[in-house]
Order: sequence, then C-alpha cells, then structure tokens
Amino acid sequence: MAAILGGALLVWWLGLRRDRDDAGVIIVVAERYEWIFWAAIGVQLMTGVGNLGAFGEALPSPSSGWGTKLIVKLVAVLALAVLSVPRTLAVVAMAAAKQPRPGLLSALYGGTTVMVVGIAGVAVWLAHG
Amino acid sequence: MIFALGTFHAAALIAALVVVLYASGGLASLLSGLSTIAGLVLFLALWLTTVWSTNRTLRGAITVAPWTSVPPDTLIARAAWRGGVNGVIFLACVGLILAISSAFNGDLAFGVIGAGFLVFATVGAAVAFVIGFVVGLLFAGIDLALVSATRAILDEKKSRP
Repeated sequence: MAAILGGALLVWWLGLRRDRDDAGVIIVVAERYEWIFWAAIGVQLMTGVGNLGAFGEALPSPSSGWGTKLIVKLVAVLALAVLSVPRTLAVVAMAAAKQPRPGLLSALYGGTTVMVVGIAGVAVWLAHG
Repeated sequence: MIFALGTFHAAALIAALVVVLYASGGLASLLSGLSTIAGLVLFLALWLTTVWSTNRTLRGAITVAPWTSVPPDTLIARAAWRGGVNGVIFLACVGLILAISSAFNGDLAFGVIGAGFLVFATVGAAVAFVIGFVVGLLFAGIDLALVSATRAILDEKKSRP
C-alpha cells in the first residue's frame, strides 16, 4: 500500500511541477511505477484473500456492519484496478511516442492517489470494527 | 503492458468472485477448506497462467502503442480461445496443488488420486474450458472498452487549448 500510494504521490507531484525539462524523467518514473503498482495489486489481493481465509467459518456475516465495510473495500479495490488500466495504457502510449504530457499524468496520478487514500481509509475503518 | 493487463485480469476476476461469494454467504466454507499456503499458491498459479495467456493473446498485436493493427474481432476470438486454454491449465494447477496439499496433510490415497485425475481430465477440463472461454470473452470486451477510454482521454486532453 505504501509503494502504491508513495509512487502515485511522486508522479502526481512531478507532473504538477510542469517543468518541461523534467518531462522525460516523469514518464520514466511513471513507467517504473506501473510495474510496481500492478505487482503490488496482485500481492495485496493474494494476501488479502489469505487474511480472509484465516477467519475460516468465523468470517462475519455479509449483512453485518463489518461485512458491509468489507464489500465496500473490495468494490473500491476492483474499481481502482479497472480505472488504473487506462492510466497504464496512457503511460505506455506516451512513452512509446516519446511525448510525455505532465499535465495529463498529474491528473491521472492525482486520481489514483485520491482513490488509494479512500481505500486506505476504508481499510482502517474495517480494522477498527 | 502485458504484465499489467494479465495482473488486471487475474486480480479483477478474484476480487469479483470474492465479492459475489461473500455476499452470497459461500466464501467462509470455501476458504475454511483451504490452507493459507494452498490458497496463496493457487492465486499465484492463476496470476502466472493469466499473464501467460494475455501474452499469447496479444502476441504480435502490440506495435509502438497500446493501439493495435489487429482487428478487434480477431483479438476477441483469440482472447476467448486463450481464456479457455487458461481455464484448463489453471484447473491442472488446482489439481496438482490440492493433491500436494492433501499428500502433506496425509489424507490422500492413490485411489483418490486416480479418481480425481479422471474427473479433472475429462468433465473438469471441458467445464474449465467453457468457463475460461466466457471469462476470456468478457475481459476482451472490457479491455477494448478501456482502450477506447484511454484513446478518448489522450485525444480530449490533446485537443484542449
């Protein structure tokens, strides 16, 4: 989660600076971030399901307050994955065309940051019952 | 890009399945019958086979950008076929992982292995192919929609003054 959030914040901040000389650096950082992001998503999901498995039959009912929060969190993670695909494709397109667009990148990574902060908030809410 | 799309497919499929199973009340019994290590290895197997399947689907389709010169209907047919193959390969992984897990727990006899293999290799493989085919078709549609969305984002931002 730290890598996903920290990396998104970094690219967002680099994009906001809008320094033309740094445009090439931003796209290189963004490309590296995409690898880390997708690896982290896979690992998060793998360990998350493992944690649910540890509950076994004691897993709270979906109609409970905790169950509702879990469903909200899972749907938010699913939405993050779906909405991240266009971001990754846009980074690949910009890198291939050698035409980085800092404004667009900061908008895409700003959106990712907001979503990840929201998911982290739901995770904390879930952890505290 | 292949790693990203393959991971997206595996992660979205598992997240959607967990939501549906949890909401319908079937998740607890399913997960309690599976050890943590076996569960992690199963997810890893699905992740690897799906990235491999995505690689085979998009082979030769990616040029310098995510936009491809391969017609969408060809890509959809390829994705559905590869999805079916992925389903069968993943089922083989499931059989192997569960057999190893059971052997470690000491609750596996050779008769059970033989019967299990026959079911996995015949009916199971056919069902896994059909499920994989449908999932591959579904993700091909989702991917093409997301590529269209990306194009729109890039074109819209480019056209701004």
